[in-house]
Amino acid sequence: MRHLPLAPLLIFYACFLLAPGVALAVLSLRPFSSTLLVGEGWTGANYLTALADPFYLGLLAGTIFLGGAVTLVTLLLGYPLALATVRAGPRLKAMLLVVALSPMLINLVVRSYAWIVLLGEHGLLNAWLRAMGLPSVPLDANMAAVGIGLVHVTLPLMVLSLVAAMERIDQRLLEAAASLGAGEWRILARVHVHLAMPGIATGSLLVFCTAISAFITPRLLGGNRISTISTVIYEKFTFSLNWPLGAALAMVLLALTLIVTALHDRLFRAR
Amino acid sequence: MTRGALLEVEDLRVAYGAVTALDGVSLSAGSGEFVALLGPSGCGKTSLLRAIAGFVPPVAGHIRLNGADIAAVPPRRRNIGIVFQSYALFPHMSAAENVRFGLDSRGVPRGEARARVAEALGMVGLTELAERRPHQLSGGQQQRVALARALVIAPDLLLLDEPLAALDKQLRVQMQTELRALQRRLGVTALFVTHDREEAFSMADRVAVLRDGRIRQIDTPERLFAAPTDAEVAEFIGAGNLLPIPEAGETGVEIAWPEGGGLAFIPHDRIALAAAESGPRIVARRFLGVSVELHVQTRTGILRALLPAAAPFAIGDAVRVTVAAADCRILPPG
Amino acid sequence: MFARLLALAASGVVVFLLLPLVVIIGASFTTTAYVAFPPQGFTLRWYEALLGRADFLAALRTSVVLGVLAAASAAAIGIPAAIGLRHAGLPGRALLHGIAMAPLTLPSIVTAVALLQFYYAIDLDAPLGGLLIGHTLIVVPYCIRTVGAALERLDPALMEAAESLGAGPWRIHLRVTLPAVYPAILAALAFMFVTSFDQVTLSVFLAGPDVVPLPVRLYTYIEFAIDPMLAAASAALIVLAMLAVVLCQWLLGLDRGLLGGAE
Repeated sequence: MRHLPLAPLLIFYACFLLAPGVALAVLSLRPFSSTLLVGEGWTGANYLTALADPFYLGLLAGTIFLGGAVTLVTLLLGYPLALATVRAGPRLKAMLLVVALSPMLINLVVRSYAWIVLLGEHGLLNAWLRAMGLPSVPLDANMAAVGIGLVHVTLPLMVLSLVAAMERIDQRLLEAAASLGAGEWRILARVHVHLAMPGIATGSLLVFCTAISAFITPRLLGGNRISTISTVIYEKFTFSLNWPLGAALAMVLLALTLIVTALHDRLFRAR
Repeated sequence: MTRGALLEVEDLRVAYGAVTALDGVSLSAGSGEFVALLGPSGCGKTSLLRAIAGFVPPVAGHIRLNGADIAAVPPRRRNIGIVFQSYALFPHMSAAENVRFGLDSRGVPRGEARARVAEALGMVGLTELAERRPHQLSGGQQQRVALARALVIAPDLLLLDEPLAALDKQLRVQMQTELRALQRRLGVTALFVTHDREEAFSMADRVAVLRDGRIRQIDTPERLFAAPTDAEVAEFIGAGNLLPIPEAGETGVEIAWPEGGGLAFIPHDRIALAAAESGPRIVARRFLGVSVELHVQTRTGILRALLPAAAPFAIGDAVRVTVAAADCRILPPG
Repeated sequence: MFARLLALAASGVVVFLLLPLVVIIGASFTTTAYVAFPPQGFTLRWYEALLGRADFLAALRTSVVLGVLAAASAAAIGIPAAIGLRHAGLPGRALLHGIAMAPLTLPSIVTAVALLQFYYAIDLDAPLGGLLIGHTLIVVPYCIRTVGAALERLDPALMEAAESLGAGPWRIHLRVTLPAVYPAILAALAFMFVTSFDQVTLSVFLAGPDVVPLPVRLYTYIEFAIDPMLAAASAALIVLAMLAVVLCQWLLGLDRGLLGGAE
């Protein structure tokens, strides 16, 4: 009886989350058919392709590498901003938080558009460089552009996680370290980073999962030259119409996300 | 105990998982009676209230209201008014709407409901503030709204869960008097949970002392003070001196010490002091207005004696202590 | 030294975060036919051009309708769920809470293809309905979270008081619980609308030829043209989003004020 209020939600999830999920898993085990879209019978060939074929293996590795690089850069950029935020007075703190969250206000398409405008071959960055008599930098439709776009997308997640963790740090611990004669750099490296670790871990998890599964940013900033798992899933479902392989890739992406999340929980929640 | 009592609780047991909150509680309240449940936090007094209200299911035992077992009656059909410690006023409703809520739930016709709300608010002196929201009212005013809301439904029983705990001392004393007068006037049976001894003794017809999920004693305030059942109750209510019974005649206290072990209980106001050349000395003196409390250092411990304020003793005086045999009783440790 | 370096690094990151915003808003006023920053001159003609585009206005309408419907549907199933999950003694509460939040943990591209092939398999040919289901799925956890948090802050004695005064479960929730948390409900509705309005990945997969939400229209437009009109559209969206955030903040602040005042 007490579960009754949950019934509409659970029925809705069963119909449109669980059932599609199961259907996707089934689809990933069907053979490809160029005439029928989906063939009859069962096969593991899609997973074999997704996980063993050199192209798809490279795709997987490239996506994971991209996610790792974005996570690292986001952490390096986010840490000083988060630190400055928690150390600031109430007014500056509020302003910095608004700035840190501001990218979330902007539609993903708009953000990508802004970076195309800034970084493109005929973009503003190169126009400025040329105006100063410097050689232009090719940042159009390559991994760097995708990386920059993704860092901008994910930085708010990292800063929020870091600020939340840093706010919880007992200031007396830092004062104690200072009273023992440690300099600010030493305190940062030996004490602060250690105490902020839960935030670093949570932020990294969010950023990594967002980066590896991002679709709009790589699609728009990568042109047609850069592929990640997500953009290839899109192609399998729209252009090449190899749905079973697309489904298998989606399952691999889902598994990757779940594994990373489980790993994080195991390492940081258990304590 | 009382035949035909309005509320009868019989051997009630309540547990939260493995933790026993009430361990066989029996209690009854007659019509119009005001019973206080007194005990330290965690003694089970709130659990008892919540079990009677129907919010926690008892593991065993019976609760009867007007002679009928209410185990199967849901809280909303028990017709019990409750005043919560937090007042639990509906934040989005005015004082009048809060009071009216129970009448609407019962389908009382509009006109009658309006009249009863006005009457209830008048009763607690809030007629002018009827349209205010709870956050626009002071703590004492919120308390009155909560009381009016619980009383307007003409409950068979009124449960009060530390209703005055959040008020400051002066307002609390004033509300104690008002609350009791109102309850007497309406003739509603009330069960009042408190951890404040003075509050319990000054308001209640009978006080139930709870400890560790059991009722240790239930009696009128006068009898509780005069004859606590055991040392722990005596100590908790602070009714008198508790002294270990000394070896024969070495104390300088002239008492026919009772036979047997345990603790001797001597009410504060049953100790006679007389000036002496030597003997126990007065070590502290607290002036209490109409009376004075003197602490006498005897060999078996400090004895606190309550005397008229004019008693001519000062700190350092030697005294002769006399206690009538009838005023010294042995209490089991509890 | 340390403080100065930190300030310098933080300022650099702030510039990086704000750069796209500033460039887009600035470029939307340029008189040039191409995107230029700083803008050359000042004109509102790109905004005028935007208002003349029937396809953009239709897409805006689709997005608004979709956002309103998704927020309403999610509220209809999410608010009862939040009430249900509030019961401390509910068997399997932690698991059910995890299930309720599940759409948040799934990558949206996985949700998108799962729905896409599922609609194909069950032969659902109603793009707006398909989009609505997908958007509802993505926003409903926010409703449960926001309303659930407000319910958690509510004094449990409120419900007991209502019950002791004779109210049944329906009456308790309709007259006491939900009215007491209405600012949180409004905030959740606003947030869900914005999230739906902002959603792209799912919409790119599920949109039909005649049912195109605004972000998808922008997405397809970028693929073949980059001109200042898009900057104008983007700037308009940025301003809308800011207004929505201010509204949400105000509503949530109201919620805290209301409940805080009752304590």
